[in-house]
Amino acid sequence: MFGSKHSGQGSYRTAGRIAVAVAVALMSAACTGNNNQTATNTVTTLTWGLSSTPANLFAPTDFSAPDSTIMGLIQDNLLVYTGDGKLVPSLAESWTASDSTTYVYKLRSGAKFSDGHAVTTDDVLFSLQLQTDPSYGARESTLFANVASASASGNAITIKLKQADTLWKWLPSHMGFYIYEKSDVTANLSSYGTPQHPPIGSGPYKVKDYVPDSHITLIRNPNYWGTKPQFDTITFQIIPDDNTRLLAMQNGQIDGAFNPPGAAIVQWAIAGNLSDMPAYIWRGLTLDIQQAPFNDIHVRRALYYATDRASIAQVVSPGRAMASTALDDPGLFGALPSASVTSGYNQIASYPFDISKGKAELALSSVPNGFTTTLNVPQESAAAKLIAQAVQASWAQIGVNLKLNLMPGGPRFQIILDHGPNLGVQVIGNLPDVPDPTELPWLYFASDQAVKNGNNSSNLKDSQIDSLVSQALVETDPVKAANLDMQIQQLASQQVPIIPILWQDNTVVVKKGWKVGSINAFSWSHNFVEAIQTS
Amino acid sequence: MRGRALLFYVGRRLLLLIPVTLLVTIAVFLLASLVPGGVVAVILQGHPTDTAVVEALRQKYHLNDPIYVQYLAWLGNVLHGDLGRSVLTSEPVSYAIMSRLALTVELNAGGLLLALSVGVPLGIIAATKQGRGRDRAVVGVAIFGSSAPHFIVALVILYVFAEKLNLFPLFGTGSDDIGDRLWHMALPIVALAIGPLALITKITRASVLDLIERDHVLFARARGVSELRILVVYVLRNALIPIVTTAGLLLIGLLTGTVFVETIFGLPGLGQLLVSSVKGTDIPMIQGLVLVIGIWVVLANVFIDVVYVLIDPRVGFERAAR
Repeated sequence: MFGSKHSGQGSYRTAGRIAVAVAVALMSAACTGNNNQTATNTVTTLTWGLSSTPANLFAPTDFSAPDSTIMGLIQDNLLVYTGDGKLVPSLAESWTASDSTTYVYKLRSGAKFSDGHAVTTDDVLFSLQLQTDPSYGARESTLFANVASASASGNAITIKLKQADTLWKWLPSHMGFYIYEKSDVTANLSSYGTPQHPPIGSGPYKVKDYVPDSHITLIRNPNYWGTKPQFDTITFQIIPDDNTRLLAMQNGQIDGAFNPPGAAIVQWAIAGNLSDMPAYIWRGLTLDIQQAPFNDIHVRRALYYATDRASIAQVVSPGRAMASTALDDPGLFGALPSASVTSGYNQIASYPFDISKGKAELALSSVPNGFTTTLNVPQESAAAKLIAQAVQASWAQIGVNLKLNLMPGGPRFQIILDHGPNLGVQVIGNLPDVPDPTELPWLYFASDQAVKNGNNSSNLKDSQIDSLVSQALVETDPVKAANLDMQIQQLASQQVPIIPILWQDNTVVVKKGWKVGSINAFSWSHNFVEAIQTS
Repeated sequence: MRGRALLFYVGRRLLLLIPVTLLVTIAVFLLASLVPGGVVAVILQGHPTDTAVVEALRQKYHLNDPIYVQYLAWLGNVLHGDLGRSVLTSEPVSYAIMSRLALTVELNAGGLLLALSVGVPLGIIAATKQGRGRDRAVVGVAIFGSSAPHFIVALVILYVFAEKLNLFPLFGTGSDDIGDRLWHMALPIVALAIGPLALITKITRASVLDLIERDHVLFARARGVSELRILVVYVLRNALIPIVTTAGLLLIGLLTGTVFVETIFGLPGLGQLLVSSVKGTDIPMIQGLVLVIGIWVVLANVFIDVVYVLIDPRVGFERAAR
């Protein structure tokens, strides 16, 4: 009865008209806005999709390879890598090593920061001090721990090392040694690199807008001493959701992105052009060989056999990862002839996926009926989670019950750095800081890293390996150093302290019609945009 | 008298903020202290470093002090308006929160407004056409809307209206221009409003259905009062009580949806800040956000109670305050 009355329907019609009016207004706004969006996409503008905002833009407090892709456009180094991996002068116009512990860098005259101030030797010394002075709390200070002193005379900066260092020659090109403007940093230290005080640099671009979780816009640095970069403006658009980022690529709202998720790689390949960027990322497991039952080599071999590395590599990064047999990607052994590298890797012990062999090895061990253990998994790492799930499933086939414990990445790794007893099994992802095969074997196989604040979570302690690592770290002849590193990996493999799983490259996708030229693993983070070819 | 009673009531309720926020922040502080490695581990993010650097960081963040001293120091700073600095980004926590608060409030207010402005009329239409096609259509849509998860709704809306029809942008907040802003915020607001809209529709329908069968409505109709007046004065005013209560609860509940919607539409609001802070174990930022969310919840409850008393003449502030 109530509903049959017509008196109320007039008000319904009015409400309907209002709704239609609002809808029309929204549609009108939609059309207007869409036209604006299309108009701004030109070849001089690059819009790049990122899955997250860099924590900040100051390397001492935010040391991460992905974030260096933005910092590397703002900051400059004394030396940089070319696309084909050669080390060349940048803010240093030249450099020499007068002996194995003394390096002299001559600062380029005329180089300026984006605020117009000249780059001085004082800025260089200060930038090194950011790493060597513990009070700055730099994340990668250990890389620079071998610096004994640094001084300047005229335009020459002399850096003396405590001992010869095979890694040092690369570090002036490292993101830990960006050259910052001392006066700007010291005046704004607590907020440096944040939206409140974006960094000043002497690289090809400077910060125009910095809105966390929204976008970072860079524009050309008019004071850049080098070649004028190809894009006037680069906008890093933060799009956290994988699906939204893919849709943005499909309809042209972004021009490119890094590392599309493996599960959607086919759709990304349709939306744009995919290219491989060498990264030398190693992922695998470490087994604490001091702790039962991992102190039994039969257990370690059994777990190695029961790990389907090839399948995991395919799932983690389809086409961009391969099963690994050691820590170092063979590509890091560029100093050796390829035949020597192949022969060297053939002598590294490995245990191909075979469940029956895994069961047989376990039957010979102290825990023939299997055991239960826990793996802490860094919750931010999609790759680590995939590895953990796959390992859990395949180890179960030989009777090993692996419990997964998701944890925040920092606290998870702190357990390793604290180096308490019983580190058990750990999932590791690491990439070398420099193009040298010494770093990872040192971090994961030397006994001086099997201590508090050390990386050696398998607690491998072997005097012969330690001796080889010590030699490699001070060996400045790259061929000799590479041979030592190969020996270290071969010797360590006999004890199965790690289960290598995969070597992974990075992937870059750009819009159809664009290409990505030659990018070296250590140059892409410096200035990847110059490798983008828009025609 | 009623004004003074209102002020007294609101004042008493706001005083409750103090113990509530104290308890919440103490709980978060204690939980944060259980994180392996604490603040130093979060700052170093797994990078190997030497003992001198670790010690420098411990001193910088007063981590060598007992936990209660750390809490009191933090509380003292909060009382001076300083929520500390993020250990992940180095941003002042208050700056990070304030720079995002407006967007989240805009999103939530827009969502709630849309839910009310569409949900209430739909509920009335359904109730007044009970059992007919329109009622069934509205109820069906309401069931679907209240059952569909926020992130699925947001993705479907995004795919249809931004990708396929190309009517709206996929992400971002747009420029300062009002039209551009509206264009960018339209889909996120709709995505956020779908669930609450369905709930408001169902509550309104149930409430109106209940009231139109009441004696006072029948009596009014017998007196020849127009149907519009009956609907507005006799039914809607009374139906508003459960609707307002639901809307107030939605104001709190929308925060959950905000997390998904901001992530999917790439909006720099408190939801994304909460996600990144929790993922990164950014302890000072989490403490700041918990404080703000705690205040938000208490204020929303006070708001609900005040409006409830204002629209229900049977309840006075004196009684409500007891």
